[in-house]
Amino acid sequence: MATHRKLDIATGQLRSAVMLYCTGRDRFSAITLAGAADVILSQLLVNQGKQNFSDQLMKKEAEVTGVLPKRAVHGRAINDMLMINAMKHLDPGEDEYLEMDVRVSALATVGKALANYYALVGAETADATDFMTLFKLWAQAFTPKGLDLDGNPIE
Amino acid sequence: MAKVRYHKLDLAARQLETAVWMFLESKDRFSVITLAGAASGILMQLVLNAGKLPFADYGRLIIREQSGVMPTREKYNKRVSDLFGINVLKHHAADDPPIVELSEERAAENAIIRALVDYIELRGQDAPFVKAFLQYTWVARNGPEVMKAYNAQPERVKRLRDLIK
Repeated sequence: MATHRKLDIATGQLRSAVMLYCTGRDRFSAITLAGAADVILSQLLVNQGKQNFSDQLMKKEAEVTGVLPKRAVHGRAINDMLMINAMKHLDPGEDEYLEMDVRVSALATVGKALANYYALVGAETADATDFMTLFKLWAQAFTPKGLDLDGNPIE
Repeated sequence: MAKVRYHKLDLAARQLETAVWMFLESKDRFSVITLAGAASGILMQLVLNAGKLPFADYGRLIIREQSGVMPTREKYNKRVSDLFGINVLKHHAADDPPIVELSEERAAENAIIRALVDYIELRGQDAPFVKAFLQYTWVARNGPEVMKAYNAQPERVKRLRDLIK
């Protein structure tokens, strides 16, 4: 039985997700893998006393609404919005069909996990990985002007 | 791109196909386990919805034959997912250890087998990725020996699937 660090496991999942997304090979799987990596990376950040990406979103939401949502509730809402849970569950009686924009959901999920990875390991380590390089090159090629509020490339 | 309507079987099939491709290409085993586990989370319910027998229920029948007690589906799935490392690769609680122990090569193979059994129940064995993986396991796991062990089982055990139909 081999021993593995959770950080290394999440890094492997995230690398696979970026490769599958940027090559366009399978963006559904990119959602699942980036989503799994993100759960681990988010908690590792919290364990280090740092804010993860969801915490930052929660704070921004609280500035508008005046109410700070609970981390678990907020995390679940984001996962549902990005279709992360729909990719790995089907409950009894649940609709067997769903509607989604896989390109946007996968890009947001991968981007969220990459942001947490960056915050956890630091810029120097993150920028030295092949998957961070690939993602940046992909972004330069396909979204040179950034994304609009719906997640589509700005023309 | 606008939203597109998908059937969950297609989402599961896509993830399982990628898991098999990554496994046979010797790519990251943890990613394989995660993808096969996600596919299983969808496929089991689809098999049940189709009125067929999922991997989990067949496993539970075998346990009942051996011990006289049948575990609940929830308990069985949790145990199998823990054994294959599926749960530990997608969860991390505040007090979880930062290190896990797992034989990822075999766990990845087992996670694919579990999902593939349910996929075959719904769509058969014709897809190239299904044939490729079945051929791999036949060679890697000595298929003739496995069949010899299966044939040595009591008739009742071999006919469990038929008994519940």
